[in-house]
Amino acid sequence: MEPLTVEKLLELLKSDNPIVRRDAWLKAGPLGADALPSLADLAAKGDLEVSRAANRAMWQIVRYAGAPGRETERQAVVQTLGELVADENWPVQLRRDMVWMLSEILADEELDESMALSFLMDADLGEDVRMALQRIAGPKAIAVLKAGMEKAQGDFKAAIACSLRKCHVAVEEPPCPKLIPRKQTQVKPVGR
Amino acid sequence: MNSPNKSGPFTKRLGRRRFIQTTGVLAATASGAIVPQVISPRALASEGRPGANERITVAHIGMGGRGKGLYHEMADLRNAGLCEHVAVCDIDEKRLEEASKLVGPQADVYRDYRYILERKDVDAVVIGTPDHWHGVQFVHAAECGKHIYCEKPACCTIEEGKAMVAAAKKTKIASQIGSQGRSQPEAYLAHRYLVNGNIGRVHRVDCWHYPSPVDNSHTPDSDPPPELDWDLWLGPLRWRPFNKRYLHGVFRWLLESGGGQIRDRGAHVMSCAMWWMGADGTGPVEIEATGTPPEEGLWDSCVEMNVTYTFKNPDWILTWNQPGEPVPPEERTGQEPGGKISRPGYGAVYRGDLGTMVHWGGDGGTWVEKKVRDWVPPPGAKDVYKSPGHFEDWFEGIKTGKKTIMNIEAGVGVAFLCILGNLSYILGRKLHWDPVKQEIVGDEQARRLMVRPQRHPYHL
Repeated sequence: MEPLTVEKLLELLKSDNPIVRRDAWLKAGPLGADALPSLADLAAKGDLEVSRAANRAMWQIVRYAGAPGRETERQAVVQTLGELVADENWPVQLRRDMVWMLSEILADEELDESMALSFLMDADLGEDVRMALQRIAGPKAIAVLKAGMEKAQGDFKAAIACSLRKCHVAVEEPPCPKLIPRKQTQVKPVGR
Repeated sequence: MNSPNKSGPFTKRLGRRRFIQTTGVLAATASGAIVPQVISPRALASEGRPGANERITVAHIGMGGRGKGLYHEMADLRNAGLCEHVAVCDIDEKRLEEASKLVGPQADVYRDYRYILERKDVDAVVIGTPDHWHGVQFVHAAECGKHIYCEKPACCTIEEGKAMVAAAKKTKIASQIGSQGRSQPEAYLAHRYLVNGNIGRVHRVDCWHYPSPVDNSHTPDSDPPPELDWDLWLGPLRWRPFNKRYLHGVFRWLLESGGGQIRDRGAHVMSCAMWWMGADGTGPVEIEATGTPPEEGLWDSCVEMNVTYTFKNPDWILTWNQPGEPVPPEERTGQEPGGKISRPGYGAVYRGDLGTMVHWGGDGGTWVEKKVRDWVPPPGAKDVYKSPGHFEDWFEGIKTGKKTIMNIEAGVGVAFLCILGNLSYILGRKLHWDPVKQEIVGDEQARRLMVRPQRHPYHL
């Protein structure tokens, strides 16, 4: 059987046959970090189903690299995703996906606190970065959340406070507004 | 526009109920959450549960297909004067309007379920929302002292499940998860048959289920329809553009919001297995899944799937198989306790040292073999709990404090099976689980996936 290369993977993902595309992304894992930039490009620019297949190939690489015993592959994937997510030319939703990919495999000690803080305060990425940091929940992630809370205002400040509480950090203010209703209906009860 | 806590039938009800004094509308707790100070002593259960002849006031959160079904399934209780429905809630205005017509003028209408949680007169809530809302709404309702009936599967993540159990325990509310197979008449017969050793020691349970559907509609993202509050539909999920293939009903074919057949029906069929095997409160030590995803489309849950759960002390194997090896349904007259078999597409085979036992369905329809129905317990045979009905059992729990047949601990235990099966599938590897600590061990990525942080403010 012909070994799968990044070039071959991309060719298969562009196939008109959905089964060929599906079987291709399922095999993407071992291609690792080297495949991610091209896959991101295809996810950003491909037709609907080709884009979905490329995105799923990226996730497959993340799930493969995160397995126990694949430390070298994991570090390479983290490094590449870190570079990709910083590129503002990608569609916002794809960058958010990359944040969630990193949330699964980025070790706390690998976190660049300065960059993570800038992402946390980013209008497009901030909420996803907050959730990713909450999932990582190590000392550096918590330090970034604390720094973010100092800078944040309003509802986002409350959101970060809630994340810190989830990380077992005592935060008194602002309180969590999760039980406060916000949205009213336009529907009137029948017969009233 | 609806205005909560104003006059109307609701105010009259307030007058005939005892409530704790409140010091203000809201107060902050030690955990940092602002909570409504409206928990009635009835709801907290320690001082006073509803009396035997007192109606339980119920509000419904989620009035779509299943939500309406739950309302209809309460008809006998309603007609017997055991409960009244005082509010309905949905994030789809068209569905909310339909719900109002269905339930009648005595029920207030809400888009945001938290208005319901604020109300002092609501004893209990029925949660019939998509899966990704179950954990958050359950915990919020428990924190506000409401008794809870929540659709299955109980939770989407391990973190949610633990939070649900903790919240229910702390507030002493009565909960029932909607795996109603346990309450079916033939489920009782099957349970009794097994515990009396008719097939010997059961060492293996093989579930079968037909495959999940594929979305080949090639539907792009778009603007949400005006009647839908997309932000509230997403709730705890990370934000993404609207796509009409997320809803309604079809949410169950996405891993994030549903999880496929293993969660939708696994929460029924495997619920029967855990109950009949006496395995509530336990869990597997290894989980290994393989599956085939759809070839295209938005939906990403497995079309076909095989999961093996290995339990220790006692040792037994549970498998989930799509499609597996379906057993053809028996011919029946319709006079059997469960009537005719209308859902033969899923079920399980119990394999013991002395024989096998088959059941079909496992949800609101649960059917067993003739030999099980015909078995007459000899003198001295063991008996098992016979549920009076799934809602009836919950009402008993509310009024007496007794443990319900599908209480939150049991519901979460079954949901964990579903979750772990899907995690093993997406990660492509075997998982090791500590059933006492309820944690994945030896796999940092898998351990992180026990948690899925939620969007603000729709979080635990």
